[in-house]
Amino acid sequence: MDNSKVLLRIKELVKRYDNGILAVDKLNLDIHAGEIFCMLGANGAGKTSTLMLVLGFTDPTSGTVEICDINVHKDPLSAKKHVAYVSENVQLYGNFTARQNLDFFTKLAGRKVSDDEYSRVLLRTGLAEEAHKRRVKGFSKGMRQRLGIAIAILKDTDLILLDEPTSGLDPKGGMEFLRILDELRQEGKGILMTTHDIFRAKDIADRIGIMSSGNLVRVIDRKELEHEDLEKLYLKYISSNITHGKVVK
Amino acid sequence: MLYTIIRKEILLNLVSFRFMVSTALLALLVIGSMQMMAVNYSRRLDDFSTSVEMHEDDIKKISTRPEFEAFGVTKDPRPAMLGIFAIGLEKQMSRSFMIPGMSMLSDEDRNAPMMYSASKLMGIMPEGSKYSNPIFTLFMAPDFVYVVNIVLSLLALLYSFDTISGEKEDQTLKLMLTNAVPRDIILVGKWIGGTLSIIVPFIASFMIGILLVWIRPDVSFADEAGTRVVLIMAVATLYICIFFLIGMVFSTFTAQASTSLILSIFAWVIFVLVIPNLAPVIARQVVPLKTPDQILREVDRLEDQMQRDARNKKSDADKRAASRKIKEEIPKKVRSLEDRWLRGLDKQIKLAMNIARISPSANYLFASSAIAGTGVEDYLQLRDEALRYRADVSEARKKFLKSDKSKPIPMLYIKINTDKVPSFRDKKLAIDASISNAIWDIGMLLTYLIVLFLLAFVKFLNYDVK
Repeated sequence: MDNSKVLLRIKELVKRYDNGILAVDKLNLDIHAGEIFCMLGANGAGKTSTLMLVLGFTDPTSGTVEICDINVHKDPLSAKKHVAYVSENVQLYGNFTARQNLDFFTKLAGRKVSDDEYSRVLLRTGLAEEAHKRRVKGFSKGMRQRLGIAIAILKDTDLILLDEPTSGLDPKGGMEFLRILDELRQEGKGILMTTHDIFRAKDIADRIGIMSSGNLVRVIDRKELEHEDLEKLYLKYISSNITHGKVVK
Repeated sequence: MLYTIIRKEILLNLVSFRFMVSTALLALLVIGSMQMMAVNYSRRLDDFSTSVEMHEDDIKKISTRPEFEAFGVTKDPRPAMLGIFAIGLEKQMSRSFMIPGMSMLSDEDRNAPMMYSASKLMGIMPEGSKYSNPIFTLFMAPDFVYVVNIVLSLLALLYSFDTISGEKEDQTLKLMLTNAVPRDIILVGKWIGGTLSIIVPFIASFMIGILLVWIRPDVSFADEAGTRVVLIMAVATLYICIFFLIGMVFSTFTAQASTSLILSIFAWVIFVLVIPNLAPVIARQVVPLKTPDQILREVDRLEDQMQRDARNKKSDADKRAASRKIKEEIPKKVRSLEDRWLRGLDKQIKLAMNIARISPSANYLFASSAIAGTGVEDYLQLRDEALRYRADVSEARKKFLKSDKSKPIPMLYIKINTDKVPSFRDKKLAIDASISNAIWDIGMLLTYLIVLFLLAFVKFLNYDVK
């Protein structure tokens, strides 16, 4: 496993919306193989905007995003082959069973997977066997989140983007989720996770970035985390730089 | 990848509540309407046979000129079998019509005031409708075309209004687009999958309906009828695809399924209810036309004036000359007014049709009824045949009168030979003529299909999935 390989490279990324709001301001970030990067920040800090730019759903005002050396905005289809995404509130198709959802998104990713592998991945994410053939509309948020992770795992990409995946999960669900992330890291996946949950971020992250006004105002690595009080640090940065989507000239 | 999306759309629809409800509704309405209309056709066929027999007997009983002039000649156009699918103008076309024996249009001997009903300008009197029970008129059985035009179009919208905006709300669209799937593939897949979900149960219901109609003894799909039925189904399929696309277009223009539903229903009301009903009203305003009664009143006044003038002449010679003038002028005047009225009517019909053609609903109705042989062109063809028949009857009557002159006996005793009464040619349009009449509307439907798809395509390429 080559942990020096850069899976995601964001360079001088700027996004100013038509209404003048500066969502991302000269952001620079590299994420390596086998690394979990947690992006902390208040609402409106630019976390989700950054993910949307990385996924190519939004065009940048300036700057570049590369996934596995492929420019996302020049060759989006090639770049998307290397990235999986789990949203904050995984909905999926309510009238499909967990297996049917998994089957559809896996086939869409161009992968052929055996029935055994479907079951194995669903069990790995903590979804009990009896739930595999149940309609997703009856699932709790935690179960849907697990299914979202299973879809990302089966896509088998180098980079995984997670948008506030632990929000609304109970403590047990949260712990299991972190276990899965750890396994994925050990498999060499690069993970970019946005979150408000500083405690879980501290537990799992290799690096934590505090985002404010569309930029990373502080990046703390694992070693620093052992000496720093993350909670204090986080509150210090977000209270001094809260913009909440204000127009920044 | 396209197959995966199509399969997903079909599977999702198959397990949905709306699929169960719409399939049950389709089976009930499509099969039920065909059965009801087939029963209706059998009844009309029976009425037709009875009427033909009765009117032939009436003619045979006529032996003198006064009897002929009193009863006239009544003819019965044959009911169109494909009215089972598209009733169109069949109700008007299947009515018996009477050519009055006292027709004045080329009556050389006539010197009395006009004796025909003022409401029948053309001298063709439509008989009473075969739909004698008023309740049948109040609650008309919906034909297949009605079911497709109203119910299927609405169902197609209900299947498509949330294809894009609904998936955006559920965030599944975002998840789909995180994969290396081109947006055009997603759109085409959704369109094909969604359309198939409604078209397959529709075609199945149609086939069952056809089979049940086929086993009836008085229905035959031989010769060109089978081809016409296939064309009717193909046009219906095209129409459903268009309404699915209308819902899909609104779905690509909105971020919320509820908004696209409201817009889709608004478009449905405009296309299906407003434009087709408004078009004849606009045409009447743009091409105003006097009613037959107004025209005949005008002729009456003119004739009265000429009669008064004739009576005021001093010499008998002048009176005779004035009287001859009335006999020559009035039929000419009536003929000229009738021609003008018919040209105006044709113009009004064409204008109403062209205005209505803005709506795919009108295109569908025109195309289907033209293919079924119950459309406007078929109606005009029957009208022209009836006018020709009127001329034939007039000519035949002249011959009776000529024979009278050689034998100056009282009119009451003038014998006529009913074998000389011409027969009516109930000439229906051939399939190539029907297709030719429908081709413009089919072309419009295809244009709608292409334009709507391009609109959805262009919009979806830039659709904000966030």
